[in-house]
Amino acid sequence: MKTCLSASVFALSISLCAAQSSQYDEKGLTRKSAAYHHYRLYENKPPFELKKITALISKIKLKSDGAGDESETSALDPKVFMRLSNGAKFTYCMIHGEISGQNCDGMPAVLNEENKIFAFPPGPFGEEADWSDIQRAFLHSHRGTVISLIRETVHQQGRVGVNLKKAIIELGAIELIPDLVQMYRHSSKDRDLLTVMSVLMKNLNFRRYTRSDQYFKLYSGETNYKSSIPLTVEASKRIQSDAMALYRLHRS
Amino acid sequence: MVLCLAFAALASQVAEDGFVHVPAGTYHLGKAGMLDNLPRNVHLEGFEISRFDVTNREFANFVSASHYVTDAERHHDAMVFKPGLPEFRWIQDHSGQWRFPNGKSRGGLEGKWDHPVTSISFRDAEAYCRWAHVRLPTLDEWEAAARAGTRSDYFFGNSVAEIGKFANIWHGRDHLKADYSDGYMYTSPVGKFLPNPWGLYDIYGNVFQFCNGHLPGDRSSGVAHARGGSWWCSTHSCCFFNSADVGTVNPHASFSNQGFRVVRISTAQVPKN
Repeated sequence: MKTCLSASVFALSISLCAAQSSQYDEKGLTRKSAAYHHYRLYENKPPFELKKITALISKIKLKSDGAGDESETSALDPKVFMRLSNGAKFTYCMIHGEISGQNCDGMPAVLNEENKIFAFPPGPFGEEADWSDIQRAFLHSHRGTVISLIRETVHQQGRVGVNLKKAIIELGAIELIPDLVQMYRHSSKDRDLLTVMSVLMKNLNFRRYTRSDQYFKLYSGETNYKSSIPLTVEASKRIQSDAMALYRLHRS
Repeated sequence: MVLCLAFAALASQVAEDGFVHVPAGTYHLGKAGMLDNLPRNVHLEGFEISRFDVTNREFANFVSASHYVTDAERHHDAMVFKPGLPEFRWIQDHSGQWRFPNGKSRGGLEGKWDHPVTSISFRDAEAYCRWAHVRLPTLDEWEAAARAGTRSDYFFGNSVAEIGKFANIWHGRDHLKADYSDGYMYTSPVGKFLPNPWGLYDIYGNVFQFCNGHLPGDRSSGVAHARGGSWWCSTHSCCFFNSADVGTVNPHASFSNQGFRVVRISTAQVPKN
């Protein structure tokens, strides 16, 4: 009886250890993916009149209503916005969305996120805000200047944050493809650089890419905005190569 | 699967007054791979959740009795939809509010009193709850009620093909053209589509339903969450009309695809003065 009980306790300990071990493994994987998800959400703070813009934003944000909310999305007086320099306007647009973003445009964190190329990058502003018509109009009407400011910010800060990625896609800024390729070759940790190139090619209906298997798996058939393909050397090379072909076509 | 649904149907009771009793117990929630909603067993106390979303008529009664003014009425910042917009793009309409969910130019509530109230914020939903002596479901309560004892992506299985029977969603490939293929472009009357096995209507689609609670990945405590997808959601865009996904939004934001259902406050939960 005593032997039987000891054997049972031993077996129980083993099974508990195994259960804990697999739980820790899962948590380890979870932590790795969560860390990458956090990494993906980096936002640049453009250096152009940043202090002034930060102060302006803090004035227009409505303070807590006592319910624990940090702030409400709100807009700068259009007259104040129009008086800003282009650099300051750019900084404002990159760090503040004037209107709310809807419930489901956030990109949920998923297991194994670090090993995927997604169809779309996550959005900026905590995925709870978006650009207003005035902000979009500025970005488009000063396209060349904005692209230069994006390039300057990226080269100074060494990252292409979700806010700059959104601007690149908004403007269809294929002029920046060589910068994106260079950035990815320098540090391939940011898989969303490939995603930005992929979206640029999709939006411009670049046939060399839209005929590819990758395009089909990311944007056709039963896909949705959370779709992804596994990160492989071949896939990343294909996207960079096709994107550079689009860039060269644009230059010629 | 059939046995599972049969068991699920027995596990809850539909009360006469429009609430479904979800018994106390341990519920399997979450989905493999979703870091903010990993699979887990959760013990919940029993609760009673409304079969339908709160309607325009019910919200009008609240406003009439309390003279409450919604966030969108105060800030003129409702986010409305019209066909032709790129994916995930909405427009701010100064005239949008619960009486004109997509702005005055797109009509009021004539013939829509039994549609879910929309263009209200999370804070507005909380105000209604305080007045009606009810509360919003927690994220876990909503999921337990939505799943109705199932572990699949949808309470009807893992294939989205059947979603049209149970939910008012967007069936177009994109949002560039209006989609009336299920009879409704915007909201439908509550209870127009088939219920889940526990008798809850519009769990998926029609309107996102605000819930109480926070996610592990929340970057701020000042955000609100809603679940179930909406009339705007399609299989090619967000496809949030399932039991696992959780939306995030500013608690003061008023979209025309946001609404709520309520949970009855039990005697034990009534605050003592």
